[in-house]
Amino acid sequence: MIELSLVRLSPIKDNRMSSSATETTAQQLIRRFRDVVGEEALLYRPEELIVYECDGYVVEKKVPDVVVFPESRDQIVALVRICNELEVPFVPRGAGTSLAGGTLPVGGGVMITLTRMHDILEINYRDRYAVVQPGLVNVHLTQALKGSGYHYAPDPSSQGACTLGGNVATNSGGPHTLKYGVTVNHVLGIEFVSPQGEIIQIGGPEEESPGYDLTGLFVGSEGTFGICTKIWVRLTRDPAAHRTLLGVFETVKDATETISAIIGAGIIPAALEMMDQGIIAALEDAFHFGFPLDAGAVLLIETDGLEISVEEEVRQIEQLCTENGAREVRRAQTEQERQLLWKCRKQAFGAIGRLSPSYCTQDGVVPRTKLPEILDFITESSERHGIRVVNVFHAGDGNIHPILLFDERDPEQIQRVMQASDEILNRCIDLGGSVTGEHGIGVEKISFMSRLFTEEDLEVMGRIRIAMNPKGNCSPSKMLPTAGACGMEHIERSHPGKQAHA
Amino acid sequence: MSDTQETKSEFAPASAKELSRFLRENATDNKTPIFPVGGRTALQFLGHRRQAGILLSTQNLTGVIDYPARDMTITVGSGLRMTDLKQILAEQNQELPLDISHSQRATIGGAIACNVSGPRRFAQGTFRDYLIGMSAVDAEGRNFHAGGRVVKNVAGYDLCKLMIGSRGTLGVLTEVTLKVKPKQPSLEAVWINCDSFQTVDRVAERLLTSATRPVAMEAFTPEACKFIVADARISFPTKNPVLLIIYEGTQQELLWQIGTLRSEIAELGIRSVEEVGEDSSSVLLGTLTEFPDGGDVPATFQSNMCPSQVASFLEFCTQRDISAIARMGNGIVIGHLSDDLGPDSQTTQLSELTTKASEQGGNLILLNADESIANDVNWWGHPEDSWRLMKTIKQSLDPLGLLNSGATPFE
Repeated sequence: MIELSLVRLSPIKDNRMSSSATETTAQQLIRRFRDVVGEEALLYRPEELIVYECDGYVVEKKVPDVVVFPESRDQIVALVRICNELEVPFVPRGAGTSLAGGTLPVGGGVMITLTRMHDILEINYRDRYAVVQPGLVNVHLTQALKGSGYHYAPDPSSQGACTLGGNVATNSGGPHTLKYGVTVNHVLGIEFVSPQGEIIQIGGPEEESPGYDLTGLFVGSEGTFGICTKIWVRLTRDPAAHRTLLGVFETVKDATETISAIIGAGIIPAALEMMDQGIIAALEDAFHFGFPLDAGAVLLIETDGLEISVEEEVRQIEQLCTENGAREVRRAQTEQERQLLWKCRKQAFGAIGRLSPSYCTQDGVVPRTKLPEILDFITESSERHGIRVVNVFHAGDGNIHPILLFDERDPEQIQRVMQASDEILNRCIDLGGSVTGEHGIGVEKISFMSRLFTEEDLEVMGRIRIAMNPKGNCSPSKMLPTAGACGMEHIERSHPGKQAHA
Repeated sequence: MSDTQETKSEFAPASAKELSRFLRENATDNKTPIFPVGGRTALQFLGHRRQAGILLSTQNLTGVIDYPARDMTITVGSGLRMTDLKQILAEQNQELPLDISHSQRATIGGAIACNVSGPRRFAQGTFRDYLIGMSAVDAEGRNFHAGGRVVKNVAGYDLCKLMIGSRGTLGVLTEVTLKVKPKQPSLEAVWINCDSFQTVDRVAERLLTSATRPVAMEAFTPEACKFIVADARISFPTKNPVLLIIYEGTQQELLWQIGTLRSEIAELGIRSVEEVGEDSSSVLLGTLTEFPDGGDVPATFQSNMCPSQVASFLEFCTQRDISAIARMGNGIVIGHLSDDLGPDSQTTQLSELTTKASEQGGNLILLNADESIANDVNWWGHPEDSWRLMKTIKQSLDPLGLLNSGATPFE
């Protein structure tokens, strides 16, 4: 496999340019791409490429050699076949909101960006599905369905930017996945271009097909199985009624114990999110919602169901909040107020900039009853390392997002953040959890894979990868520490990430 | 269901470790075909395969490994019977809300391997929505796991999804972790007697925008109706197409939903709407859950298509005296061929059904076929491009083809 970053093209002035033989390969690549997509769908000059050196995970950086913007499946087939012929690695990219370096072009090569394939191809309410292209922005599907009585359930906080193709790659979650499930629970079928350049459809509008559930396997494969070109998604009924509550607590401990009490009582709200004092202050500063600045934590709770029963569930939740020390439980009185609450929650990460020049978000998961324990540990760890941590996360799923605040100009602080982050994730594993609930492994968390999985687990996953991606040329160096194929070398984490959404 | 496989011996390992050692040695030495079995309720599937081999039973892998009820997850051995799992969960007022047939014998591992689901899948989904972690042993003895014990987890490839419905061809499940739900307090069914399948379709479509939230929408051909009424010991009209709606919830929710349903569908030209009653509704759910086991019928099929296509397919079945039920919200039809037909006519009829399903954009697979026709019929429908990929995956985990040989579409 040729590492194209070593063979920059003229007019790129790059002292890494080496032999004319490899330069010819790179020039040939661009010439042939130009024949497929045209000049205006190609980027290869350094000043253009710099934007694509990383995604939402900004620590590891690598500039691709070429970024290409196909507009059709057939163009992708042609591009992939050229990459294969010239032995060049390629990586698909949506909006680049991955928080784990899922779209990092490790080893350079070609970045196939799918943002020009953003159409909704079909909406079928009778059969409850929609067919979309991979570059469609998540919220655009929601907008297209507005008023129909249906919606697409997975709602990542980055839904205003992230694409459905990217959601498929990372099996994205979001606040409402507590009740409605993550991306895989809403994908019926996928058409993709295999790493060898073949068009393959798995699943489709019908719920079952003969043989293995390759759709289920493909979702969450982080771009390593091919390039998704079409997605059949399930549409979900809008709830008949919903209520949105804000529980205000003196301490984080009271809030997390309330979460355990709600879930333990057999109530599954539509969403159950926690924000601590640090994040409340930043949000209040940004959005002026009227959050109580002296509260230790708030819970954003949404419950839905039939109009005749939703009130009873609200009553139970209010009672559990009170029993666990809530000093107040507010209800969103209007749809506007509800929307503002959700806006605050979903844009919480945008407000972090008010707290610190840099920050690092983790994505651990613990059994829900272990939330008090992991939050105590986060506090203890942050104090021991002298790093400030704020929390905003999907509490109902046990999916924590501790945000470690620091100044990246201070190398010593960076080291302490790294240590605290690793300790927190390792603690999640020790508590029976995982190091990622929705962001993916990408390149960021590869070093945790051998803690989460045995050698035999990784060997089986490696075999599946080789079956789907025999040359390892599609999204190399992602997810698995090693797989014996080209470009799958282990990447050590060296810096914490500064990330934008969760 | 009797065991029709001509297997020569049987082995029931006491642990995953023993299972792993056994399969590793088998792959190295004897290379004997292995047929994993749980409750042996699906041995009729591809019953024409009469290879010699070893029945590998999970009957000793039955422990409850971890049940943190307040987390609403449970980890159990794959050989645990469904009825035992149900009992354990019920003690905590929880349930796995999938309707699994033969629950006295069926094991959780077997049900996952066969991706069994029932009427309530319309609201409650399938194993895809509940299996969050698993351990299995592949044909060469590798003991591997994927997922975990937390409800949200995207670390590594989701091999849980791959194992669901793989029928023991990729590995033998040894341990599974499931997400569970609070048990619903009660259930009530409504029997809607229609004059045609067009009306059934109209009512089903109306229910997609209903203020109510059905958990099941089942339609029956008249042949199926006769069986269901007799089996569930209920007394309702059976001559015409029927749509059965099931609701779950509190008494207040049931009452409100049934009242609302009546008013919503009043103008759609239906013949009658009758409440089944709480006790009979549970019995009826059981009858529908067990329906895929047709007893001595010559063949049982499952056809999958878009819900809007089902009414036409049911009409096609009715014209051929096929006893069929349809999950109207999911587009799944399960049917039994009439035993009045001779083998040639049965083969022809299955071929027609496969073509019809295909014309309607769907597919058809056989769940069971009598020995007399088993070798002459198409079990999997028309080949698809993805089958090649499935074959590659199978070869990567079972290069010698030892596990449940023949139970995949691509062989």
